[in-house]
Amino acid sequence: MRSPSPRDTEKFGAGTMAALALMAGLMYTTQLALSFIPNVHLTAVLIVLTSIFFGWKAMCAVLIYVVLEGLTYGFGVWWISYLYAWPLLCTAAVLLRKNTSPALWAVTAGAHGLLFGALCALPYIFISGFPAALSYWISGIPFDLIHCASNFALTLVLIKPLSRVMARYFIPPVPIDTKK
Amino acid sequence: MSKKSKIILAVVLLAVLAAAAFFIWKANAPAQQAGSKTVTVEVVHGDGSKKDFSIKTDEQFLRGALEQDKLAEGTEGQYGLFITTVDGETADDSKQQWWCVTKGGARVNTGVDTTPIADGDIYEITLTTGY
Repeated sequence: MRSPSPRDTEKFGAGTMAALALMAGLMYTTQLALSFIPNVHLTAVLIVLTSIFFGWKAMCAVLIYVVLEGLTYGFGVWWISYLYAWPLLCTAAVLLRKNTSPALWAVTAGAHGLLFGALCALPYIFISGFPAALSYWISGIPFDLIHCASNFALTLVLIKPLSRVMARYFIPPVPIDTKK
Repeated sequence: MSKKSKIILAVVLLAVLAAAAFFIWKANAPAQQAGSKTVTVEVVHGDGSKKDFSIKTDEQFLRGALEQDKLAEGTEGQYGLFITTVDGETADDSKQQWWCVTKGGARVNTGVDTTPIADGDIYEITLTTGY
């Protein structure tokens, strides 16, 4: 079967909107499917991929994902941190989207995983004070290390093959290297 | 600087940051106490009634102590045991009820699986409504 012509993601048409909704759905369902393993998920690599192909429009997919997480797990204090932690990765990926090295994408996703606990601790500075936020961050460091390692490995392995699949359907605003 | 050097530098920097985070955690991790100890658990039920339990245990973490005396049950979650039932009372999800674990009134930021216990510790487990 012949694939449809790749769409230009510069336009914010129905196709782009549907694709962003699908990417948000993928972020959410893969997170649920892997939720039995602490801090191992495909969300980071999918956000990087969406940012490469859709630029700032990827923020829509990220915000849909954040709302879906809140609807599923409840809008607790942790959810406030999701409002900036995931968009921060999206921002970094958009700014770095000329990068074609899977290793650099892996470092970006790994660094985000490592900093995730610190980002989530920020609301506690205002709720319970700096010592409580610091203790919250330190107690979660083992999970941040898992997050860092899994983000790094999954992004390193998946970013190229997923980019190749995406490039069959969408033309990224900045040319990307999809060679094997 | 060549592209390859930049990549190597970025990977090394991430590894250094990860190692630094590990050492920060290791230096601040609460000490575990081996051997026999007694911890007190005050359960605050949904109706406000309180009940104290004194647990003699060799366990090193709170989960082991709670399960030893069959004081708490729950489901396995991402971060270990998610407590659903304490002293026979089950938190009602539909009412946004959950069991809040505190030590001397201060929130415990670790799960019961990773909360180390020491002789003389006093914990409170309170049925809380609202997320």
